[in-house]
Amino acid sequence: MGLTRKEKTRLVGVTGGKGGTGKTTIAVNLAVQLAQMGFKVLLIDCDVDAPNTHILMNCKLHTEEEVKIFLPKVDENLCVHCGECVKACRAHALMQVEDKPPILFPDLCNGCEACRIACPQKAILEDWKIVGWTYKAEAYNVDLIVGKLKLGEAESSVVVRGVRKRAQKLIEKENYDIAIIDTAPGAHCDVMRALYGVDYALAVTEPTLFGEYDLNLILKLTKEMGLNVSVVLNRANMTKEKKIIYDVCENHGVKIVSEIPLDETLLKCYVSGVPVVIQNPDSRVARIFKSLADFVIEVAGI
Amino acid sequence: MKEIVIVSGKGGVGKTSLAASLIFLLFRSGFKVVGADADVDAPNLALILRGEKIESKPIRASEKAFINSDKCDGCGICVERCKFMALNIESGKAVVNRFLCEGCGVCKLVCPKNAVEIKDVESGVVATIRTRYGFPLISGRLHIGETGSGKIVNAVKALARKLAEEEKSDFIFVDGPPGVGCPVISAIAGANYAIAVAEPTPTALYDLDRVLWITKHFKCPSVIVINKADMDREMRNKIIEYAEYNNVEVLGEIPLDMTVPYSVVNAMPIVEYAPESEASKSIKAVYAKLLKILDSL
Repeated sequence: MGLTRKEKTRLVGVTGGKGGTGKTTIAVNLAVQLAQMGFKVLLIDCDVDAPNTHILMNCKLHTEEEVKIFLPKVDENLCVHCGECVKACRAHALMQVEDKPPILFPDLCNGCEACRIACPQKAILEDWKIVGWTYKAEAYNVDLIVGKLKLGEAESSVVVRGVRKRAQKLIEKENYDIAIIDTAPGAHCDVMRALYGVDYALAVTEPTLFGEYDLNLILKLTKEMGLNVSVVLNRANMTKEKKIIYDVCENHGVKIVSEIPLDETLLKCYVSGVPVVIQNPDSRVARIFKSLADFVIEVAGI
Repeated sequence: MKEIVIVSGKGGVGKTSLAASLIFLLFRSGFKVVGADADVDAPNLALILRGEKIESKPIRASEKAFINSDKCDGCGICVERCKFMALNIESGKAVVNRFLCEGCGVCKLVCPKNAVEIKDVESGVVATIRTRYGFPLISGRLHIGETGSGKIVNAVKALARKLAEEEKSDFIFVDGPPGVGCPVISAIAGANYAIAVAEPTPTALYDLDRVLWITKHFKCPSVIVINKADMDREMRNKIIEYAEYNNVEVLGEIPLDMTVPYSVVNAMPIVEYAPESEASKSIKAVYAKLLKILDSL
């Protein structure tokens, strides 16, 4: 590391379009492997709908912080029922009732504060609601930041933002060599927020029609964001149809850096909560993760 | 008419494969069915049910800010007030990052130069597909990086319901998205019955628990199907225990069967591709039980 070490913490995203292709498994093993090699590593779990990194590392989440957003509270003494706040609210979270203060539907509110800005009476006071939480954890010399969406809440993007913010604070304090970001499945704005500003992205897929279709979507997203990206083909021997994935990669001018076979050792480690690079470092899959880690070190420049 | 939705919490546990097979079995039993793919981020059901696209309708379900750069003097008030960090000053003018903008209109409200306009944009498409079996499939897709997947799901379901009314269908069968957020809530809302798919891993159980909270919250009766059930005996038992403790029925278990990935590669429901495979036999058992339950609803 010494001489070539860059000042800035490098960010590497692990994404993939389709759900269940192995994003979290790869993010966890990559992070733990890099820590084994002596790097200071942060793992950031941005899949706030289904945060699973801590389960694969079998560690306890602690230091809970609430992710809150603004919620309007109408001062009924000041409100003149003019309806300006209702007009300003594009999320339709406020409803006008004749000669009465507006009614709030908290589930629809995205906390933008348009109502407060629009109110000529300054009758809108600040209240808040919890939309999720962030946590810290540590395992195998990796620090972990996890976000979790509150059940029933729709504002997952706010929680993703909360995770990235908390991680950034830690990065500024702790001088990590590298941070690995695990994203949600899909190719929507939450995935984009999770990948925002990464130096490199890995897209994980599998050799099926689903993997092919969804890889195409995520590679469009990384292209749109102008990210450097490579593909990891997981369960490479699950079918004999690797070619469909190679074709997608060729069309996008992206290369496949790793092929991970279906592997019983990996599955056992997955269930037991011990990463395979720790449990069985000499196994075939652990060696693949090691070369993937070497690849990441090279492309991220740590 | 009854509406059934498949959910899971965790992605990649087999929602679409199971949905395709159950829809196929409903069709083959002579029911009139409308398929709906509500996984608008990764709409894969049409890859298996295949057919001809009859109609594709753009959905303008989200709004974005647009800056009139002739009027903007780069004062930066909008940047400061935007809760979504969607604005920046570049070369002395405000610039909107369209992927972060939620169209809330705060920038328009605070701009002293009246340089902001809020316009609706196309955020996705909803397609009507006539499947090769003859029944219709409504498939939604959110455009890359867009917000508002819940609204696309709502559009998919509205169209599926309209079509089901017109065709006097027996069932609407919805393939839901992974997770527990906005699109999942939209996929579950108004459904008569939910099937939650899990595989025997700790992560799938954790995510199953989260999604069953949502179905319960929306008072949607739910059952569990364990996919790849023999992958790990101990975890499989934990899911059974979980189901008993929470009083949720396990409708069936599907064994790990390597013919399933090949059915996906060959773009066919497993029950059609390999009807005698172990997976197909279990899915048919799940189907028989499901029919009985739906009958009693």
